[in-house]
Amino acid sequence: MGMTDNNLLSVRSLTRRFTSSGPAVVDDLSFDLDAGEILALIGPSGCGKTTTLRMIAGFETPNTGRVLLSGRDVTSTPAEQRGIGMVFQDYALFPHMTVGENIRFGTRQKGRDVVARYLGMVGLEGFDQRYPDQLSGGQQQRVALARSFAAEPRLILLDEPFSNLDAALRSAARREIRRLLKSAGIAIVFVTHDQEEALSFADRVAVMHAGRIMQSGMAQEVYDRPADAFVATFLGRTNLLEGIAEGGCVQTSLGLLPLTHPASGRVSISLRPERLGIRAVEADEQPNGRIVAVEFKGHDMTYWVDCNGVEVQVDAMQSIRLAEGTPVRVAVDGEAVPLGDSNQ
Amino acid sequence: MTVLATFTRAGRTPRPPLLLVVPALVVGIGTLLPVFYLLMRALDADASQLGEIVFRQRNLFLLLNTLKLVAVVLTLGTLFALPAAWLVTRTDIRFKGLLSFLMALPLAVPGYVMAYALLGLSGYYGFARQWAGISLPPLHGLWGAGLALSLYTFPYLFLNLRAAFLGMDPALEESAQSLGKSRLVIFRHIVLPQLWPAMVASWLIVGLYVIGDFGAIALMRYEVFSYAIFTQYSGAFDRTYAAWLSLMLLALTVVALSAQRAVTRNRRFARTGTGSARITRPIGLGRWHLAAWAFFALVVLCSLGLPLMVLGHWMRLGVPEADWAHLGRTALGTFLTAGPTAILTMVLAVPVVVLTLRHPGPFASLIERLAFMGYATPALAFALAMVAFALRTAPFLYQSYALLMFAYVMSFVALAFGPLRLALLQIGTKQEEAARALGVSPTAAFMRVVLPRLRRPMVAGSLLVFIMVVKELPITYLLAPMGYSTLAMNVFSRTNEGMMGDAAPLALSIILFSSLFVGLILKYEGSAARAAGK
Repeated sequence: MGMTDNNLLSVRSLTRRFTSSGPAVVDDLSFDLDAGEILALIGPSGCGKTTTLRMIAGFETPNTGRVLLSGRDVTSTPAEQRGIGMVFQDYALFPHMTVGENIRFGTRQKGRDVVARYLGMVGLEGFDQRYPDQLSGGQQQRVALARSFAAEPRLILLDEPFSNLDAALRSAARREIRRLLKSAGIAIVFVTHDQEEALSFADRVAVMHAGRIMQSGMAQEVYDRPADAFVATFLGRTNLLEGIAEGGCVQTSLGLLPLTHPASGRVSISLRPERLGIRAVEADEQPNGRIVAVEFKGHDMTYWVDCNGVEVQVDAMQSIRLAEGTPVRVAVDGEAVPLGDSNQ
Repeated sequence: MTVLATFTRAGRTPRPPLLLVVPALVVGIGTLLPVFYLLMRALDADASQLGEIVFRQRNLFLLLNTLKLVAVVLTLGTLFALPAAWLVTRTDIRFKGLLSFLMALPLAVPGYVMAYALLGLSGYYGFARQWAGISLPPLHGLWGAGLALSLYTFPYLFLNLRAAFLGMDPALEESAQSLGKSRLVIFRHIVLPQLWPAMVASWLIVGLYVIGDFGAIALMRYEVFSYAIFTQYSGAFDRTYAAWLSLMLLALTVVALSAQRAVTRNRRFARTGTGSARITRPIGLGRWHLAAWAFFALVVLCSLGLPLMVLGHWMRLGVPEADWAHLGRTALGTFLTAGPTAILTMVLAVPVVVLTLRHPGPFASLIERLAFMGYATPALAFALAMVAFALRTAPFLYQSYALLMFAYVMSFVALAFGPLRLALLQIGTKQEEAARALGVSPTAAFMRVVLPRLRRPMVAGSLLVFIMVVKELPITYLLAPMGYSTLAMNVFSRTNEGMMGDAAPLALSIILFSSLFVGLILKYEGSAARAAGK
């Protein structure tokens, strides 16, 4: 991810304040995006992710910073000349136009089959005469995507793309749309506050907090090696423990643990619940913890275990079922991640 | 992010485009002309006289009378309009369409006809005594003027409140009900706060109309600013004092506008949602049906029955040979002026409303206030200012159709703001942004995505302006080109000369003519959300 002109989109030091003296909503933000790549901006509400998206689209002017498209500065280019598509959270379909008219709206392509082709892409053949209010939420979303595709952008921005769909629909829609985007080779920046959505949909995630990117990288990499406590807790559940590190190991209330990378002195570490194992103590064994709460979640379970005064959560598969109050042994199956300072 | 912020940035550059600024400037300058004229007149006064004029005891008397009149009209109007709007939108009363039409119809009755009707009814020689033997106390002064004005202005309140009721999300009322609240509590704590912006906006329109109205007030001989201004112009010829009175009236307008802002601040966007397409389950009136119908009967009898009865009475006294050809010519002439005026008003109103919503700031709010001031400027002062302006700068414009229409547009443009504003708020900015993300320029995006959905409020607004022009008197009188006369001018001149029988068919044709358009307003007003293009 070098800062070369090969990047499709480069965002450089974007800053946005809504009042001249107030705090920056987006604070010195920079990132790059390759052609065909899917990037998730994830963060709690109010972290500036939607404002960032609107600055890239051209609906919001940054106070400072630049937006580059294929190396060309578009910071002062009007939205309609950027060639960036945008799909809104509530889809913003034009209610007074049919599906066909909506799709034809932004396209320069001539010919009768344009509408049919794009409707076919999203699996809505034959819907061109319908009005938006005759469609379900999932169908409206696909029409909005088809409308965006028809304008042939190289980059599409998605604002909370799946938040208006039923939970049941969401996962299927995610897979289908990801397949569509990947086969069309269109690059995507999307914002979300749903970590599952970010991890499953994006190639790369950027975790935002208070207008800044705290960490960005491949989804698995950020999940496995969070840079700080904010990222660790926002992207998935985790156990935050204190310990004394020396070289590749750390001494904690769970014993001596290996570290993902060396550290020294007093550190905070993150230990994902699925990296911990749990079992009932055998007859002659000394327990190192006691179950204080059990959450049954269907295919797995989460146990809250009191280990020498420190409460940790442990995810376990269905094979073991332990009751509250059971003395147990908790073992670490993996490495702990030493965390940096969140400066928050 | 506040709602306000999302409305202010439709992805536009902070500087408003010329396409919005030019029409706004035309409105601003057009409505400022009378103020300039009045200031120049007012400054004619000697410095020594000035204090005496401004602090005359009589001014306070006129101010108090004006305020009393506004209070009476708004109270009576709300008492008519609020229950009516609630009944036709929330209950199981039948013939809702017909009732809505009847409640809006008094818009078509000219003020002087309503005043004549009340005067003709009451008093020793009134036909209440002649026909029914009841001698009503003579209705004039505050109560006469207040009743007359409220009887033909309450439809504005009704139309606005009805639209507000229809735009409200019934789920709010239903959830309050599920929390065990009584109807009365729900009305006070859920419905009324949501109605508030519509209520205050229509109070403003009616209030400004009342302080600028002249016809009904003159007939009722109730001394308020506008009446005093007229007598100064026509009788005493003290134009300086008249100008001062007009300026005081304008100051009152500014206070009213600021008060409206203060009262509805933070609530302006209370109804930004598109509401629900779902129909509320109507409230069963049960044994209250009778009371509801009695209420409607009373309102219709007073607001429509009375004027029609008086016209009928006059016609019974002897209809002269009706000059149908003349009537037709006059009606056609009126139509040909009112039609283009209404369209021109929309052409200017849409950019101003877009400017105030999408580029809020000192410039936009100044223009908006000036437009309201133009509406509230006493028509007489407005017309005289236009005469003075034309004679000084462009004599060829004097008594031209162009100047006449310009004056109409400037004094009525504010009327179109309300429905347009509500519709634009309901449409929001997301779709415009979506269009721009598809590569369409801001202007084209507005034209293709927003304008088609503004059709209904635009039609409703222009019909309202149309009716106002048909009924209008002072501006028409002073600025009409040679040989041009409207139905209203004919009615007024004949009643003035006591030729009631002559006036009656003309007045009746104004009412019939306008009622046609009232019906159309009802068809088109209401939410843009429902204009989904099908």
